[in-house]
Amino acid sequence: MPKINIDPVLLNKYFNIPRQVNKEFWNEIKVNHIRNLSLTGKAVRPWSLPEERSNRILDRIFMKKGKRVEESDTRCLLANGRIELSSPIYFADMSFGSLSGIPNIAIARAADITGILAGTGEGGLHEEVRKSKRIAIQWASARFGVDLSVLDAGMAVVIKVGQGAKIGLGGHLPGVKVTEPISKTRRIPIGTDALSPALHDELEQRIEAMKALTGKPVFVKIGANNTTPLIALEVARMGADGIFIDGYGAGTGAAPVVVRDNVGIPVELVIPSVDMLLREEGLRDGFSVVASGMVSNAEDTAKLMALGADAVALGTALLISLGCIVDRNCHTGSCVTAIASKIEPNPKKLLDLEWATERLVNLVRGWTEELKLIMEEVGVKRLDELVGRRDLLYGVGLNEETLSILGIGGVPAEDKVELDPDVWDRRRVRYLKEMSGLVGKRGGKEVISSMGSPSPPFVERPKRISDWIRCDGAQATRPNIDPYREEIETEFCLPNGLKVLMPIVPKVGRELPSWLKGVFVRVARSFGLLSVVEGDEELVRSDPSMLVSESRVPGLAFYVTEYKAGMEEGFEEEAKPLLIRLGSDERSIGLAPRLLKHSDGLIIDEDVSYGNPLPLEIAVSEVDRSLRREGIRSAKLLIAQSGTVRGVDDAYKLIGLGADLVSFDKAFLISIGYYDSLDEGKAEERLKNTLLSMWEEMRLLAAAAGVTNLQSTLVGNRELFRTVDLAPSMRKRLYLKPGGSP
Amino acid sequence: MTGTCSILGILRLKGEAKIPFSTLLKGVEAVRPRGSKLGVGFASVDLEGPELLRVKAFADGPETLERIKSGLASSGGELVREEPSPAGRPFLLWTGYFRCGDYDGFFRSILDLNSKLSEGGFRGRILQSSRHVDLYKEVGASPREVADHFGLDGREADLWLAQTGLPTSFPSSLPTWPCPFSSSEWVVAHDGEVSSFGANVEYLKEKGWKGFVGADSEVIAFLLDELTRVEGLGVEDAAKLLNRPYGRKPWSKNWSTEELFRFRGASLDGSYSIVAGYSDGEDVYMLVLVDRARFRPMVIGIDDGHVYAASEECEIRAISPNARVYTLEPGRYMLASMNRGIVEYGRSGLSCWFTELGPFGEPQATGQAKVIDASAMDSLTLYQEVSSAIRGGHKELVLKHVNGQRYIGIGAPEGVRLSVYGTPGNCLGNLNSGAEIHVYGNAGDLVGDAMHAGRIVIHGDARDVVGQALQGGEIFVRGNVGNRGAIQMREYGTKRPYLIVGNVADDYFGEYMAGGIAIVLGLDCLLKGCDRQLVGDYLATGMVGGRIYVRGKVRPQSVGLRPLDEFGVAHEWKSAKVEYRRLNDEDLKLIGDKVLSFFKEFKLDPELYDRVMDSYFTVVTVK
Repeated sequence: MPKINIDPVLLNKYFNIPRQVNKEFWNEIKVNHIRNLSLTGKAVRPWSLPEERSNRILDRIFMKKGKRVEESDTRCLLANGRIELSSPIYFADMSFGSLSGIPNIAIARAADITGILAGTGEGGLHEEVRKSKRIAIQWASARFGVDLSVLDAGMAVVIKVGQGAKIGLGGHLPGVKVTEPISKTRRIPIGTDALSPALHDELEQRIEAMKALTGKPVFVKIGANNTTPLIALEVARMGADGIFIDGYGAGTGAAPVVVRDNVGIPVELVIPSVDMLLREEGLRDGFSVVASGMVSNAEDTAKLMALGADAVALGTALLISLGCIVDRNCHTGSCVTAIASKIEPNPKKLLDLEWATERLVNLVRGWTEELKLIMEEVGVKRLDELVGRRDLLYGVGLNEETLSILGIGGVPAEDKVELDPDVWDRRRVRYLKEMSGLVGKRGGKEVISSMGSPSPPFVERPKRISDWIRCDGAQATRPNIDPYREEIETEFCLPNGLKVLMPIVPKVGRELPSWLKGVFVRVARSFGLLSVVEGDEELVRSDPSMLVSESRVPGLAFYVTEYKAGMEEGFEEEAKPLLIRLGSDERSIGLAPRLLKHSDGLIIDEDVSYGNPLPLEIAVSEVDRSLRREGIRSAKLLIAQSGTVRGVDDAYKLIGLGADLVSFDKAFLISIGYYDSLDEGKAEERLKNTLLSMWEEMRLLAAAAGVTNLQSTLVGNRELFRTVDLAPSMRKRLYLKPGGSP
Repeated sequence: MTGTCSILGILRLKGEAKIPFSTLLKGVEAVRPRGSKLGVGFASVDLEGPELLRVKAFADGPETLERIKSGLASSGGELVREEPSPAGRPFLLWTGYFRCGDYDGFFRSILDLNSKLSEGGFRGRILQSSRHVDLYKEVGASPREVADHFGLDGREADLWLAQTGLPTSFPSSLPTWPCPFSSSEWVVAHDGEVSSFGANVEYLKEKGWKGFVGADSEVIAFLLDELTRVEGLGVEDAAKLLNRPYGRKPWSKNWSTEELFRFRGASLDGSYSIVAGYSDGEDVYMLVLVDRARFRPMVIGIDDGHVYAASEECEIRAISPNARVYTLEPGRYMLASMNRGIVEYGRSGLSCWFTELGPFGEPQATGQAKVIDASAMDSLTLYQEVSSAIRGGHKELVLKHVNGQRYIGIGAPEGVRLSVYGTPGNCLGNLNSGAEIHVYGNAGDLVGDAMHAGRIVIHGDARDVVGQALQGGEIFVRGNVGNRGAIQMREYGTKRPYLIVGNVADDYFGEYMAGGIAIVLGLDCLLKGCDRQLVGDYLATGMVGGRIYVRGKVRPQSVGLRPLDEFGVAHEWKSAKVEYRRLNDEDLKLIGDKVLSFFKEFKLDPELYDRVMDSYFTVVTVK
């Protein structure tokens, strides 16, 4: 513990919640509800208010009221009865270091007082935490702070394979939070990032070894991804006592935004398949399934249990109970509420331990009381009568496929999508500006944030089809490739012998001033990237080797010609290699195979249409499939182009759907601040930063999916993606499987 | 799959008798704790196959079988004879012998039939159609039971392949999922999970392949078949394409950019260890591939007349106790031919890699030592035996006939000395808090993980991830270590851990190192006059503290993750400080005594010590 010379201010009351400028899952109503529970220790309201619900799937599931029962029992057994909890609540693993010490102690003490279980996270055991009985010790890839006595100190061992906020990536305690005490417990130098890389253990032998060594129940924690039901089955067969499944939206102390927002599946979507598959195989009895990720109240708890979980884990809800105001500063080390602040020898403020403990004790009691009220209204006396009772649920506004994956009834939603036209919302604009360094101090690196994702379609409104597409995060069965430790090749080989650094092609629009066009072309070339230049033959002529253009200047990387009626029958054209630009529409899909006979590739441009426009995702996927059916895909180049591709996330998904390269412009212009004011030197510096950030993000998404060679492994690899509650007619045209299915 | 899967392949060399099935089974049964009962498959490859094509199919009942047979009747082949299904299985297994002129056409119609069967919801499938390859696989049975069901006792082959454990955990009682998978004259067993699966399927579909079960091994078999039989690549080129060539590795074929573009989707990515059998009608081959991070284990064994490939060394030891054993370099392949011997070893400079230690013979135990014979014990039984002996007050334990048992010495306390004779399995001495463990043989993966005190001395090699999160005490390995040695080592207070490697290390040595000292001496290289670099690539990636000493020069491009790529973009790490120099006084103070104690431990020539300490070292620290 740090030596304290000056008495710090002890925080023992809640701060006002700042106005939320972006749409948040943890909105003011939710925060106030948790605060009420924490202050009173009594039930406030068992059912959520309509205005606090988000767009996530769990918020569109409702419980049927049944024959009322009295005095329902909330006791919960885990690991074949070896652990009894007074309530089906696990305090999610948050490490000493990511939290500031006092919260760690309060969490462990509250678990003891209320008779539940608290995870320690991977950061070493704080002496005060060690005094608590009801703790579970985490074994993760960095082995921070584990020795025999530590493993022996808890009621159970949790082997951490992955987490919902960043599946496929390891733990990351930013260097700013590695202060002297943390340096001592983790045994790494002060100020260095504490990275827990991808777990390379063989899971089966680690489970077996931990069981033999400690004699305690052993759980495995994973993030919910494409293959979670199969991983759960595997983990059960390996002899673990349970699985902790952490879904999309789960909190984190620090995560790259591109991964947090795009990788992983909501927990409610995978729990039913996990439960059913384990039952089918006769492995469900005595094996515990604990769900986490956006569990915000007793209603969420009851619904997740009815979907098939034995208990839930709380993370963000705990922090809110301790006073968190959800301002997403955990990774900076300067948390105003002293919960996730860095640990200093002379802190100016500290959380009041007694006050904090009391809040958590009240939270559990109030939460449990609300759960009891729900059980009584629904008509279940004991928790085991609730687990897997999908008949108690019904869906509203969920599509047919989602209802079937969930195994619940309800009126299916219409088979159509509604897109929010506000593509460049406040959060996206800020994010792009952080990449260039226009905002914040980390230009040129991946953008980092903390706490759970507010991304569409679950919290924010979806703006493109790609918002319903989730990327895979590799873990357990397929090791993730840690981008910080493995070599990831983003280079793309092209049919004309060129090689580009990554599959992103900046588009240089006609409307740009010519000095800025020059900057784009120059910077792109310095990165080994192609650029698509509209007009400006003079610029094209100056160095055509890495340019894609409609002009006929000799020596271009690719010549472009726009589709004109009748071209499919053949046409005169000497320029080579030649790309034909089509639109993103039904007619273009039909034309693609015939046009390819006369060209070296196609550009599918979303800003062009020859009739019945379609979202670019659909057009690219359909064109890729039809070319493959004809056996003519692999020798040809397919470029997806759109002004509203927002960044690497959209580009990565389009490549997975079959594009070789993705071209866009507006995201770059927003990123470098073109719409504000700009000079040439700044433009160049910022554009370089943005491209570096994008390159890093591309590597992160690939790494998370276990991909080391982007081109060979990603193009058209639909296994690496799932849709979530996307209209079935759209999903089928993407040839993707729906998330959560076994 | 993560730990449920085990592979073993054996190829005989010319002049040697055919391999009896019992030999294979001996190896398979050495890893019973590793393989599950979920599925097991065997395959044989023989140069002298039947004149006719052997087509094997399974079906859940007579109706499905009829559908298969009628489908085959219109496939362009002529059914010459058939074998009825043997009894004792929950499904029908049918074998038909076909004569056909157009093999490629016949094969396409089988793909078509399999595709129609699965689309039509039939629970049945054609498993193989080949002259040289024969498959025997089943779900929910032990290796012994499968052998009985197929009457394999007494069978002999040029190449045997075995895989236990399902490749993916799909529930079924039909042998749809177990490995190996066959495609014409290829047969493939695979451990791991490839992230390229979806891209591989798209690639194959474009070339007309269909009727996929969805298993990785199947797709790999299809790819090998497509690339060799259809695309016309040689076996080695196909192997090089599957192990996608990449920048830093000197052995990758120099594919042109255009070829790499055209073949996108045909390479493997993710985690894999693959053993494939193949016959082109003139020879029989065993091809072994490992991924570039070597995520899944794979060991190669060689004796006078055979080449072995196994997930764990104990499988080879059970068959051939004195075989020479080595591992592939990450991202490489081994190709052995029955007629020509090993064509490609998959490791450069093998002669100075082999350390020629052992055999160590029978253990020497003093009077007080407790001797435990591990021969009939599985990992957990041995672990319990050792634990109870320690609890019973025994300070000195000798474990003999150890072969593959894991977790030896986990949690053994200070004052205990364990002598291990044989080939211990993974996780030796994890969380060691003071015990002394001596291994007379090679150790497996994860030696000394999260060790805090004590000593581990290996009189042989250690495989991947030795000394991970080593925080105190010392690990001496006389021979070589695999990938990711000394990763996340750290020190605190007066505890400074040491890892000393007698010969060489593979990639990622000292990755994320935060403290302690790791040393690579290259003794056998020195003795044999070989001046190769003693460590692989990515040395000290992400290092934040501690020191690494590698005797001799390490190329700058082998240090760190990506010092500078071809586009001139530097990827920043807290960069390591690399010096190439003679040891100075500070160095000698830090490592002199430890290296001397290493020499004494292994009874090495003191003159060699002087030569080593007088050498130039690459010293890596943090700026």
